[in-house]
Amino acid sequence: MSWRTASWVAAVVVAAAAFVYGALDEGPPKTNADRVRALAEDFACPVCAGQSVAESDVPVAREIRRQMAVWVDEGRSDAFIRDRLVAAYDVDIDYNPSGSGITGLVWVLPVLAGGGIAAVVVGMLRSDRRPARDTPQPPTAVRRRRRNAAVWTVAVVVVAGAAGLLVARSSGSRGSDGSITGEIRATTRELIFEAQSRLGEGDIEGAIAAYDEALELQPSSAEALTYRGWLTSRRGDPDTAVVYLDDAIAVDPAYPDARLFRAIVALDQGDGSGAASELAVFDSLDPPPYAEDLLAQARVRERVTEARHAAVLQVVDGLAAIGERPAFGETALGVDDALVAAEALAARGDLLDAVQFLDWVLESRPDDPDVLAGRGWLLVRSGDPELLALGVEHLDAALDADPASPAGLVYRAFARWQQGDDSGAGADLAAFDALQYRPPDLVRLVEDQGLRGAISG
Amino acid sequence: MNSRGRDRRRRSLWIALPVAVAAAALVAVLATRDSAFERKASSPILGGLAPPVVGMTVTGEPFDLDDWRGRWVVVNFFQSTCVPCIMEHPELVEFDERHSAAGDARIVSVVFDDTVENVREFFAAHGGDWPVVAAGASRAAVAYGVTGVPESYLVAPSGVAVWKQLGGVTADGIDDVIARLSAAP
Repeated sequence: MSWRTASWVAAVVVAAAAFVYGALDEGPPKTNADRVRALAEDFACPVCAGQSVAESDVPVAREIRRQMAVWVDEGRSDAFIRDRLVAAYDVDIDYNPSGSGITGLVWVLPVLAGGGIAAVVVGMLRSDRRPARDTPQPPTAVRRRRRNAAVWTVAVVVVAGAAGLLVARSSGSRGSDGSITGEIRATTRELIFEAQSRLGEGDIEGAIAAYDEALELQPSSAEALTYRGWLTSRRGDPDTAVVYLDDAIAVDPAYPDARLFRAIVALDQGDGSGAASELAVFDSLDPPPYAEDLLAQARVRERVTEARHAAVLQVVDGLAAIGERPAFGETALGVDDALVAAEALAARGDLLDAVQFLDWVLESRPDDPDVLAGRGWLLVRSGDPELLALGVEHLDAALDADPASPAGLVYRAFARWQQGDDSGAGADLAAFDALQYRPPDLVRLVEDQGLRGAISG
Repeated sequence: MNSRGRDRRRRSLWIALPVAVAAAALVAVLATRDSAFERKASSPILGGLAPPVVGMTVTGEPFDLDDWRGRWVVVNFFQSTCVPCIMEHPELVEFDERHSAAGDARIVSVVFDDTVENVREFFAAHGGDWPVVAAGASRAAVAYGVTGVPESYLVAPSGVAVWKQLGGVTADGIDDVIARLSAAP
């Protein structure tokens, strides 16, 4: 084969290879989800044989993928993620080990070996050809050969360069529907707005599609996960909804909407204690007004209370009569259960039963401030002046046991106000306000009943 | 032997030399590293400040491991359905009871690939009254390099991760480690 033919063949091979590369290469990741997938393929599952984090479905691989999604959405670099995973799981997790330290030998040794072999082979070939170089050649032939070589080199470079440009056009960061800057079509925020807008129009399927697209861009978007879960539950699939909502809570434990929807779904599934737990977290997060409205609209508090009352009444009704009942400490009931049970009995109209029930608890826990306060509160709410006075005695005892008892302070403030002792009620309320932690249900009780206004008025 | 034969032998020698050097270096690297099991039983995080455990517990309270600086802390990764976790749980309860009065050592459990409902039921059934971190658990599990459950780490009062246990722990075992490390200069 002549030198000219060989050059053309080389140019055609370069161009063909470039086109094949351009056709097959997917370009850099377009979305965060793509980037998570690409990253997961670069790391070994720590407990699997020959599987990457992307391929494996063992729990540890799932946890790593979940955390990768959070890091990617936080804008962390690949190097940051690699450093974190190597710091926790050692270098064995990295399919592309770093070039520094002793691990660098993995890269250096093959290059050294290959380079050494190549040097030896080239040296031997040159020594074989050395005699041919000594043969004299005519000067015109040498010039012509050099000129031809230059021309063909330029031709090959031009063809290869053109192929490279074409490859760049077809495999850059832009997709076929991409903008000229190569950026993705829309941001997560825009997609969430679009989803909300579709939801407002009653287009649930369209909203779900928009949330899915947002999650494709940003898999750890707490907002998209939350509303995707909520819409899924409204479509009658609570089990899948729970997965979305739990993911949202894992990403952002302080996102009130996720807690609220999780509570509602728990109620729908008949899990009253789970709903109560989520509601307690929701209350501690200082939720925005729209979330409170939604909460009221869905009657979440009432439903949680009803569910807890029903559950605990089932236990209480199963207990033997008071005289034959085992001591409270020997039952599986806790103080919180006992207080809920007393409230449930009172709500059912059995005030005497409720008081007697707490008396039974006090036999085992005579100095428990919560039980004393609970019993006092039952009596204070009776409306009977004598029972009111008895209630205050219990509230005093509760505060003797624990001067910082939030329930004791709030309930006694109500009792004193009912007795006309506004200054005493104000002092209790001020002591409550000074507490480091004020239970949200007590804060709400004070506000809903307008106690501050009543005292100052 | 003629000169052609000598040339061939010399060439073979020159080719074999770099290959032999590379192979020897590779063997040296592999021979001086810990075995796969030893690497699994140790951890790159031991000896350094323990990675953060920050999140929300299953009862809805915020948790931050840093708030417990000054005590020994057992960071226990677990799953409610894993049999070894169920088997080790009474030992954790025992350890907690031994130290709850003095407050010199505490336990925090971190949920690993499980649901909050399952975990609540697990603790209701098996006892235990220490924080169980659910939200933020993935970040902690990956930061500690957890590969399976149960897996526990001991964090010294200084905040340094000093010990790792793959598989179930025992109350006596943890106390022995604490006693040994406390006695060390």
